Amino acid sequence: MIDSHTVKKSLVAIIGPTAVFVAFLSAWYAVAYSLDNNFSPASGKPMIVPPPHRLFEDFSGTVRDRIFTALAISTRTALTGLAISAVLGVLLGILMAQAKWIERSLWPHLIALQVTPIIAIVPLMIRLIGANFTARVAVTVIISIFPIVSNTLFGIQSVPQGLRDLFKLHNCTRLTVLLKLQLPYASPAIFTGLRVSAGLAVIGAIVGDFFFTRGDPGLGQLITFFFLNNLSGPMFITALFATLLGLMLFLGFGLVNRVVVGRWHDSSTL
Amino acid sequence: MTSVLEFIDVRHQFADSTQALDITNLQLNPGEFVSIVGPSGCGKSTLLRIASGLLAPSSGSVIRNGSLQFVFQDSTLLPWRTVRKNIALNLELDDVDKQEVDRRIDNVLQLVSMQDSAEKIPRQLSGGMKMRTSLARALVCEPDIFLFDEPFSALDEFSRERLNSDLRSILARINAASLFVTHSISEAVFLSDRVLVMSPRPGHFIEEFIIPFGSLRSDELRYTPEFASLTGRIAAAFRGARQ
Repeated sequence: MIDSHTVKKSLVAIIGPTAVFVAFLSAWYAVAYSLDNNFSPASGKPMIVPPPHRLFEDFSGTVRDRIFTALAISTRTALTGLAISAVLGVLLGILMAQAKWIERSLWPHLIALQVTPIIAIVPLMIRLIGANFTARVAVTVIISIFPIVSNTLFGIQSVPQGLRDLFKLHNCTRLTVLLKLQLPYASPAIFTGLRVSAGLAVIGAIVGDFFFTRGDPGLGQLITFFFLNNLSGPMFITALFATLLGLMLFLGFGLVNRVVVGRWHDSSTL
Repeated sequence: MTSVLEFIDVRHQFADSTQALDITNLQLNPGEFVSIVGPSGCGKSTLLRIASGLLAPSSGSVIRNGSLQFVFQDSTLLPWRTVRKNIALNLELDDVDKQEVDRRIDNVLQLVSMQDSAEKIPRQLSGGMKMRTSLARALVCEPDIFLFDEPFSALDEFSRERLNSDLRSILARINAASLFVTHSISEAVFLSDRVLVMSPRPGHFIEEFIIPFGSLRSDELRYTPEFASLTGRIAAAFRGARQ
């Protein structure tokens, strides 16, 4: 039997986001028609900001094909970058957790990497890598790696002293402690980092597109193309697909978190 | 009789030069249950960490004749493992054969009355059940020495008394020695063969009490005049130590 508390909780979970979404759509309509207050459909001129119900008017034929192709390319860039960030980030987090001097040696450089504006290192990257797919993946890694490193380190360092003592009493090797204690204990934190990084990886893939124009065009290049050709509708649809890609990756990691972490931590029930 | 654990002129000083411990002599005999009571910060936990080998003393020597298990103040269970798998952890880390692990776990689950909760994870357990699991994880290794660092301090009075009774009856069946640190004098008297009272820092023993109640003790013991009298004498020594 469903109790009133559960019903109330479910209603709050539905009503809250729906209300915000309706407010967002209302604001969108307000902006769309206030910018084009003399708009007439008969004029054939595109609106600066098309209202939501007119977004998909141009979503057919070549536009649709170009968006799907760009989506596939950006997905490949984001996933490749995210995979590299995940492996490298977890390894760096583990390495930094091994000794204070390693942590202190690497932290300043990671923070420097995190705060450096990508545009400042674009010329260097073009020199070193070129303006291609690899460069776009590199940008994705630079943008998305930090939360994975910091969360892995935080998760490992959060292991309670009593548990560490328990393993110490058995003279366990570092590898045993890592595999049987530290990584499982840190897994909720690592997955939180991965979920944040998943969104950042999509941003990285699109931002990379703006800077590196050689190779197959991703969503970023397509947004630029639609913007330059005054195609507001397709430009907004492309942005919408970029958002959906980020959302899918975020939810995907949420599901993996639920499978891997299981029922022992609150994060897996979100 | 060869003692299973012996401290000889053990002193310990922390990194900030605080003198934490000054134990001239401590002997723990096979099958004996010794409790240590003393004011907060007197070095009781430091003494246990040195006894277990987790901490090396600044000077003096510790002789251990037998295997050892530590039961911590927190239950220190791995939150992703079931009760059964948590109990198996110590054996797993010691590379004990899988069949032997299963056999021993079945026995110990019965011993701590946790058969029905074997497949639960720690967040589904009460504080008392978590501590039973922690106790089972130590018992399953069949050690010669148990070190207890205030294991029941976070429990309510009722759970604490039940676990005291259960621990006493479990240990009466095996020939293991125990060194038990607690703040509760009545707990120390109920469980122990000997109670040692420690002074404030640097911790050393100022008085020893022999507990004459035999190996099998019923819950009613706590309400006898003899128990009250002994508890009162230890409390007086404890108060003296704090001043």
